[in-house]
Amino acid sequence: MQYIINKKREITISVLSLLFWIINLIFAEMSINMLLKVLTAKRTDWFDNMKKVQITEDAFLIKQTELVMETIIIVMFVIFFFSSLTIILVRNLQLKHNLSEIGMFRVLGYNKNRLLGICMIDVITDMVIALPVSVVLSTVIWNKLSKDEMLSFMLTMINDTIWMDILSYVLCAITMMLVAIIHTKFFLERSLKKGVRYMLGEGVA
Amino acid sequence: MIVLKLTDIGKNYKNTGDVLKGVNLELESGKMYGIMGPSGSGKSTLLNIIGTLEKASYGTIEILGNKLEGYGEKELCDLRAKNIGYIFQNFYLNPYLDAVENVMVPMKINHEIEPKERRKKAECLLKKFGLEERMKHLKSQMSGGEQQRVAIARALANDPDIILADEPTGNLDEDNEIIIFKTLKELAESGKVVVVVSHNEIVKEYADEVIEIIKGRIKA
Repeated sequence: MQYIINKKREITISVLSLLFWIINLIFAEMSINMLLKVLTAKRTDWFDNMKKVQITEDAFLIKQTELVMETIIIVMFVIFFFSSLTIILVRNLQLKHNLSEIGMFRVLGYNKNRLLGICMIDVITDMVIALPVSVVLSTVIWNKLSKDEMLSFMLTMINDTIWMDILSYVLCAITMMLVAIIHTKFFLERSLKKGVRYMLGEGVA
Repeated sequence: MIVLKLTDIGKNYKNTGDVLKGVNLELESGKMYGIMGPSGSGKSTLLNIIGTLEKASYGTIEILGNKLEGYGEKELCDLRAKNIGYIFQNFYLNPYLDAVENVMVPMKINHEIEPKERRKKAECLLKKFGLEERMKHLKSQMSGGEQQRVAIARALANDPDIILADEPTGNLDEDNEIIIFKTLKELAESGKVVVVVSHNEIVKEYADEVIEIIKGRIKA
């Protein structure tokens, strides 16, 4: 597509798309990282310790912190999913923007598989560029957040290991790429059909 | 020379049943054909089948001596890119490209014309249709008649043998209608097959042959 749509528009879409990829990966990494840490933490030990503690002001604080942490994780997951959705929409903006354009490409003899291939390459290229940027940015954000009293409290309770960071990045990268590719494929195929129908005067319904 | 041959073509849909039945046609180069008929008679479906955008439920199509049976998506795309030019009622110009770039799109898809030559050829075509002042204009900066002339130039970009026009003057005023029909007639006279689907009676004045379709069948 980028060889056909005009350059200004393509650049704007690419920049927006990259930006959303980066934001998304940051949230994705943070939420998965946090979830993995919480899931793999020795929660049994932690609760055992809790039981031993009498109902004091400290224990109340611990319970409250736990609740806040759970909420943060849920919120982050919500953001993760919404930002994933936004990315996919932005990535496909060039296709979605005008159905008749897509229909016209087919009418003019543009091969559907070639169009799909270019879209896949777009998605993968974005991932490759966005991943290192998001790693750096999320590390900075993560470190800043860890200064927060509440988060540092949790972090001290969890063994922070490098492999977990790597695993979370790999997981989110694979998931995002798969989602984006599958979505692009189906979206484009549907758009092509709709586009052609639209051009033939049969509407897009 | 027979460019297009349709033998016993039929098309049926699950919902609407038979749209076309037993259509036999032979279209020769250098002629302009008008396809007329009431709404829902199957004329647009016939045009789409000729243009390989839709597949016939039965029957055979031959374009330039090649039977389309067994053609895959890739072969059909190549055929469309090289041999068929489309003109639509709503022009369908890309709103983000200027007139020259719009005409260049099919050349980019076809790849047969060298990149350096594409712009020159596009400018040449636009000049031919009196659009030298509109080359850098976007769709939104042109009148309906001008847009349709750009669309005709785009249809001719790869010098196809077949030009298909679906209600090409449906959105145009009377003056522009005449310009467009005259242009299509000239294209036919230059050796191409021009097929025009239209409700407009004026098509009878320009077409060498008028094909009337009623309820999916060609009127004898």
